[in-house]
Amino acid sequence: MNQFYKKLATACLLLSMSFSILALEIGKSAPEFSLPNIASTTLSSLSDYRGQVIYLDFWASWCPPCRTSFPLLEALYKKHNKAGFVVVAINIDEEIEGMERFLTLYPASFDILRDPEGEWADTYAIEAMPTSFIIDKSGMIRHIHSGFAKSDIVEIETKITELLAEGL
Amino acid sequence: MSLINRLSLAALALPGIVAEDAYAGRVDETFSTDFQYAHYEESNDRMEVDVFNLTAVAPIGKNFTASLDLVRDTMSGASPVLNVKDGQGNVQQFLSSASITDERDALNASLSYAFDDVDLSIGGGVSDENDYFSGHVNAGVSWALNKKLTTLNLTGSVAFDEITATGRPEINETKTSQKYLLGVTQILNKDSLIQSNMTFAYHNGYLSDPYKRVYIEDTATQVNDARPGNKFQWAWLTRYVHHFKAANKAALHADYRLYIDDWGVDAHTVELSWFQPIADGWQIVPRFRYYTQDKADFYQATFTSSNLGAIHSSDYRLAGFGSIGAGIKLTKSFLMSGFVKEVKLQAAFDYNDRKASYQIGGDNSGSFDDYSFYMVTASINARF
Amino acid sequence: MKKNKIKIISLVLILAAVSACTPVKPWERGNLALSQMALDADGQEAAFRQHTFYSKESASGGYGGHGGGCGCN
Repeated sequence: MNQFYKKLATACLLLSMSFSILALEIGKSAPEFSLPNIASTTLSSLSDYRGQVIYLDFWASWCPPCRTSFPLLEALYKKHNKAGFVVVAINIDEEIEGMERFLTLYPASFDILRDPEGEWADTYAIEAMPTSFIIDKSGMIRHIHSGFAKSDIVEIETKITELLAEGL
Repeated sequence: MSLINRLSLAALALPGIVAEDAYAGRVDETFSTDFQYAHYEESNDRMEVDVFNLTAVAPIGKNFTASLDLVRDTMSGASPVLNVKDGQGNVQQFLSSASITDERDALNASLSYAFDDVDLSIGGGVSDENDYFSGHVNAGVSWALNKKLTTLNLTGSVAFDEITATGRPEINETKTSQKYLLGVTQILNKDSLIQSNMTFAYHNGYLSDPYKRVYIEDTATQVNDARPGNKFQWAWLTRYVHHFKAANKAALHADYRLYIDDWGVDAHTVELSWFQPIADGWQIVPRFRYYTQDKADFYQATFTSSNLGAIHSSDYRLAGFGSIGAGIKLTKSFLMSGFVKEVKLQAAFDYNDRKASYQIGGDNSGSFDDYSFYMVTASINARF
Repeated sequence: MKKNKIKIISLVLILAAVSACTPVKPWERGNLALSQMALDADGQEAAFRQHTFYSKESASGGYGGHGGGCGCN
């Protein structure tokens, strides 16, 4: 009887485990996404940002660390944008209202794209919310960051300035 | 090697599974303060309690969270002392005089540390009133597995109590308790989760109620409440939560708890609540509760010299009875992005009716210790 | 007899849970993150209710533990 319970418990654990075979690593090319931009009717692709240092952020309105990150990313974006830095925030809220309510409280001037089906979150093998990727001017992933705490912005800014100093 | 261990090793061997920079830390970096006022009142001019509760939680650095909780209870009113039999052989409950006001103060503090998937916490507290002092310490660990879809919880606590009694100077007793919880919370799918916990409690020492007595019919005398010197309690609580997107994102909470102790009491508890969001930031939550318990082995409404024994109690809380309750709660949440991130206002009203006849499978000993009570709570919660 | 009843109840619960199990991706936890889906949305009220009920009834215990929610870092 005890063996049977053990097997049932592991069955549930197994069913809820999922492994991304195509996990991303530092040093790999960032997958080329193409998603609708909330500010326009056209799609935005990763290649649109080639030549700039990109902070690619997968976020949702229901994620508390995202509320911490937005004002800090907005400040960082404004500070380094002229030097060739962009923030691309991919929102994975299933419903657009959640995202819109969030943006009224935490407005952003950087690009916000919509991935409600989570298709690109899957391709980028997101393991936790939020997850961000720092991508260099040639489109290579240089840093992966899981979660967000206020103090993280310091390390992020250091990495960004390093990459901005690199050539193409 | 067990199946689970073999699979874990296999996973590590799969190509491309790379540990990202493990960023430890807790989720919420906000400070919070909560203040609640609660009022409890029984029928027939029995007990009344006012409770004031203040809680503050603060993040410290990237991984620590500290919390402080203060409670002040003020109790007044009559409580049952024993049951007697009148001339017609009917049982009547006899209450103490309703003149004393009793105050209880409690303080609890805790500190927790968040790793990536593991959360550790320690805490302690004291509770003090004129005839009862309790101090406790506790520790707990929470382990998130499976991309945080499964959480294992283990907690333990130890309490030491000192008991005296107004009007009974001979009472100078102690009691120690240990409690353990082992549980799992499992996300079932995008819309539902289940939690199942087992708790074990061991009590040793003075477990009687110094203010209660039992009535011996044939001699028309009274003796003090006398319970065993130890008690073992086991409870198994299962909680299920389900999201109903179509009902404006409502949520159903359904709980069932099975309770068994070695004093002969078996009890079942069922609680249902429906969280209904309405308009902007408002939620209305109707709830229902049903409780049934069996009487303790040594409980009787009244005794005779022949069945008194060394252990005996007529405490209405050890009798066989059921309790049906219903209530409603209203909450309003204001979300902001300034210094204050959220303010929440909550108010609730609940009514409970306790009757011997509501017990499932009981022998319905009569309505002499039936009563009802209502609870009102109001609170304000702020996050910074 | 009681032990067998408990085993049957637990078996039914586990089977029901297992049959409903589907893997939830980290970005699919929006509904679970709602405050109405939290097991411990109002800690102070829960403490007051549990204190009231175990002062008036024999049963106590079962409550506690973390889990569910957004699973954020």
